[in-house]
Amino acid sequence: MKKKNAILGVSLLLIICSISTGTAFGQAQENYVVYNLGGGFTQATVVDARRGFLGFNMFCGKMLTDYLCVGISASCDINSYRDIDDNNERMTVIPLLARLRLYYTTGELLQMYATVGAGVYNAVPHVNIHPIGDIWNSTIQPGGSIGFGVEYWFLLTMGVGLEFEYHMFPTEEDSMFSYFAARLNYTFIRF
Amino acid sequence: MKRHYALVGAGIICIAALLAGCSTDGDVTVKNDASTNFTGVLHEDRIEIPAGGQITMNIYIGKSLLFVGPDERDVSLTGSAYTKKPFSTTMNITNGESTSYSITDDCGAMILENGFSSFIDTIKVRNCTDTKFGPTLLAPNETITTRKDFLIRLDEGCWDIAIYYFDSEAHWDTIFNFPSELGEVTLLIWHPDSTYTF
Repeated sequence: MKKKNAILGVSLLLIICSISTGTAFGQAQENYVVYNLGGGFTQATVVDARRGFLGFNMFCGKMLTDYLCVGISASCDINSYRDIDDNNERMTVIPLLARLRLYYTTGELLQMYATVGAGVYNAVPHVNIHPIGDIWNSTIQPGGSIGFGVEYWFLLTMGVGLEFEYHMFPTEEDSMFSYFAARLNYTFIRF
Repeated sequence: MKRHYALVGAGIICIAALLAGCSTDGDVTVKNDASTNFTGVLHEDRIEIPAGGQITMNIYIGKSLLFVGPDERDVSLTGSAYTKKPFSTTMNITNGESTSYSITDDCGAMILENGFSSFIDTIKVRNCTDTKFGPTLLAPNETITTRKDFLIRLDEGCWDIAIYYFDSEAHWDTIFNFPSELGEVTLLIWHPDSTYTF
């Protein structure tokens, strides 16, 4: 029920963006290619998840219109980590996703977007005596993500962005593995 | 410009919320209401609870953020006591709540000590009303040597116990009409020449 509420909220955001999107000026717009390179904090929200850790991501997308962007992304997210004596327990997830972004220009230098993605998730656990979110072994599963972000184009074709994402994919135990990611991106466009 | 500040502020709040992702946990209390000590494993930790005692363990559930994340999990408890047959159960632990489980007697027990100079290699039991004994209670190749004992858990009722031993050749002896009562433990030092009254 809670996950449904989250999905509903982001869907609403997508609809709002698609209704009120205007023409961008000096930022990402039709036929431009948008690149993101970034890192941030990721946190698993499953049973036996510990404090999150770092995540790194890349995104490349083509602006089909002034507001619609399609692309691909790759990440490496360590979303659960703890030290155990001289060793550590961690969960690394590597998503490879096809993405759709809906941009909304909120100012001369600022754009916000909502994003959805779908693809495959490679989970690589390094666990102690309990699985993290029912994952004991390395696995590859289909999954998806939803999120939103802002990009501040302080050099018109270069800028920084903040992004917040929620990822989820099924496990072999028929439960859902989910995690959040908050990322700070270096972003630039090519014509 | 104010809108810019609002968006940046929202982003910072999101990151702060992530960094402050809440841990969820709950307590589980296992009370030993059986009449003998309990030994077992609770959530991968070995535990021992004396008769009438209890332990409380905090169970870590996971991480949650705002309204997303786990708020319950299953925890397993396995173990046995002299008067509690080996069992395994699963308890559901909810965030911020305490869950209780009570261990109660479900059988009686006899501690059979070998008071003879030779070893016992088979022990069988039957209900007093039955004509045939069941399979041996000992594991393959297991024997009970002199002064060693063996725990026999028996449901409430009347039981006959057959003991097979070696004294230059194979013999067997039977203890008749042993009354097993729930929660009671009887120590019996066995010798082929002894007679028993219960």
